[in-house]
Amino acid sequence: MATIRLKKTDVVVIGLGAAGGVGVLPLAKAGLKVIGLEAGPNLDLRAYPSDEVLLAIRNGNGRKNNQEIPTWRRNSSQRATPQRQFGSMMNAVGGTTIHYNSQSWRLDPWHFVMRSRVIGRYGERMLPPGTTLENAPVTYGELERYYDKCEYAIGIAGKAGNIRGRRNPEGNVLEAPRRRDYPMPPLRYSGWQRLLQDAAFRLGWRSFRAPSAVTTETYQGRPSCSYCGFCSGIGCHSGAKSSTNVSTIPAARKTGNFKLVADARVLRIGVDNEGRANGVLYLRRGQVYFQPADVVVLSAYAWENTRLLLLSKSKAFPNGLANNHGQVGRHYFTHSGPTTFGLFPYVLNRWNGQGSQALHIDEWEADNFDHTGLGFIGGGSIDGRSEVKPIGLVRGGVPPNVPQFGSAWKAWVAANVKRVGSIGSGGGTNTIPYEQFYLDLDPNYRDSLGEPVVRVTYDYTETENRMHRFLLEKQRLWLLEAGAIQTWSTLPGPNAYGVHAYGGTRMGHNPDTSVTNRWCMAHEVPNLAVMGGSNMGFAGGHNPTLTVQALAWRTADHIVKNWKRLTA
Amino acid sequence: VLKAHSEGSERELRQRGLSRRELLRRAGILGVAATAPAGLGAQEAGAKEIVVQRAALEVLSPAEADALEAVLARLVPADALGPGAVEMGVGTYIDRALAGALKTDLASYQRNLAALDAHAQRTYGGVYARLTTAQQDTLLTQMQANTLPGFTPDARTFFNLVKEHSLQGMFGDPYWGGNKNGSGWRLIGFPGISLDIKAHDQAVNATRYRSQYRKSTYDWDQFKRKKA
Repeated sequence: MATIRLKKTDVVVIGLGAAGGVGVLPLAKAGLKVIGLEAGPNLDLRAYPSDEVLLAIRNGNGRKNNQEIPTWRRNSSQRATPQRQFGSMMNAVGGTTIHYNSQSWRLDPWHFVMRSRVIGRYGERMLPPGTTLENAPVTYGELERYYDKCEYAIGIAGKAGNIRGRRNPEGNVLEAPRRRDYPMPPLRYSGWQRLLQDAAFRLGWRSFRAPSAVTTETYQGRPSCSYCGFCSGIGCHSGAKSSTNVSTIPAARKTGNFKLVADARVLRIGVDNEGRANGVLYLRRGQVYFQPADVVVLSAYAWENTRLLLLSKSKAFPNGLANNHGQVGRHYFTHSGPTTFGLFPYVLNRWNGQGSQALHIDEWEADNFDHTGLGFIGGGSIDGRSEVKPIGLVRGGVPPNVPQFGSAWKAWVAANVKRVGSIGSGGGTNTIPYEQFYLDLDPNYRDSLGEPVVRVTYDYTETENRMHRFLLEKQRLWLLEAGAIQTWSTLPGPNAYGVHAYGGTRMGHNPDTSVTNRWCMAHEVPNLAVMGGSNMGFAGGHNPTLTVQALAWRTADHIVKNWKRLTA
Repeated sequence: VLKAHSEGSERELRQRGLSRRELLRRAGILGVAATAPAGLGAQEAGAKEIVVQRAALEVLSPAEADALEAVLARLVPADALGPGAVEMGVGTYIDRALAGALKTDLASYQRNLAALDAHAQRTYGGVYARLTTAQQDTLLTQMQANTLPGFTPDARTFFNLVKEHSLQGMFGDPYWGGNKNGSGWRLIGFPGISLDIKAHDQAVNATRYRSQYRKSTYDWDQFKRKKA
């Protein structure tokens, strides 16, 4: 069947999730004609039943992701194999913001300049061996206005702890200054969080509630969250969760400049004779189309961003698009989530609530404490959450001293599982990139279209293990102070499949160590933009999504302001 | 409605002159006593023999289902605390899942249940389902400790697979064939599905909930769908 060549558009966006789903709004608002291609369908609110088996375990709304699970190995001498049956990324308009936990953080200013700040305070030797960590080519100060735009356009609920230097202990007093408060008040406290709040107070730790991409009052015509307990890994049945498919994407459509094409699986990015991107080739219901465009935006998550670049080979780019410096796929790392469990003499009722309904402590995040002699840099927030679904709780919530089967197991579970609490660093800890870890195309495994899947080469080093042990101990102290009578945890293994993936198309000033520039435009391809965590060579001890979204907005702004130069 | 292969085996069994009880059991009517003949938890707790209807099998053979349910009956036994994994419908959950979403695990179940039966036969002179509960527990403990040979890729991996699927069957939505009438949720105190949770329901030590709960998410009009 012949490829159908479509009419040229200003901008074509590949992937309408956390990043692309935000990036289309400023582009369309500025009057550019934007076409958004999404590999998954456009789902409605009936697609998210409170079904842990179908959605949280079998990833029932992530069909594309399920059949292209990356392979994984710890180092480049091993043979990588697929480790999982089901993925964790959504494939639908809105992407993984549909089923994300929805905590929406600004990172600490320290994370953007981690390298120089670590050297400045502790000396060069404090940098872990083999790390490729660089200062980000953007600062918190530059990103602040984009964080603010995102918080209002997406709809974030929270309490500011620092408005232009005025601190409020109801929010996070350790956060960087912001221009104004969140558009909605935070989610309510659960009983579990009240218990933890009292304990934190006794420990002298400053606790506060997480900022959440969810409504706590009517916002953008969406009802407020009903705390149903089936949110994270599921999706929102009422539209209360501020996923991009109910917030920024409808706003983009309202401009009349944005056309959404669902079920459109992009196969390649096209390149002309001068080495400029000239459009994308995609498959939709058995037909192949070529969509020409002046600017191409790649926003399909770290794995697919990397894979599409590596697959899009041409005369100008024999090793994959934007890869003449061999940087595509490098500096890959993922977040970790060390967790400690505790058994309480109370029924905790953590079953229900919203995924980001959580009480946090930032005392052990960023450089908020002295790292001298600790053997790691950064740290992570620690938090107690609600919304614990039944299978997940029983799977993780039985201590190692209890028999793993039989009447003894059953009796323990029946009496105690509802009394099990946990404190985790679920938003992620301050992991960093290393020379030896990267993404490439797997030589042995292919997806249902016959394309090679991504191969992940990733592991934790002793540095990450030291950080995890440190945080597990803080988590344990909090649980004990809150009344836990027994605690347990395991040191986390490498989370090669994280939904918080970083790198692959790192942003930076130097084309020898990065793929995109400070605006997330490819160094080698002036009219190719990349949006997503793949740009980030740095992480914080919090969920990355709002930072990904602020960066996407900033890139879109850059495209608008420099349209003539970029398309000349 | 019984599946074709069940009917086939019924004819075979008749030809081999097996008892009506055995026939019913293989065809899908399952006595608890028949699955685990000795020292059964339910009997120890003074319960009468409960006859459980085994749903028509999707992909497992009756022999495989016998072995699987015997494993499930020891993983989570019926006892004074109430129904065990078998009575909660975990066998049905796994069989249906292996016919659909978990079909890549079917070969593992077939191969490893056969390995378990072969091992039981060699060691104790009978298939796993026919052993005493003490013998069954010994073999399960060895599987968990990864000291039983003949499994693919190894015994512990298969033990963990069955355990994970048992948790899904016991504590997942009843729609998928397990957690019969919310029996798994009742065991752990999970109140069920509600689309609107009140603050009171999130209070520590609250045991009388104010929200309207349902036994399945598909009981809510918004999510109504046809039978799995």
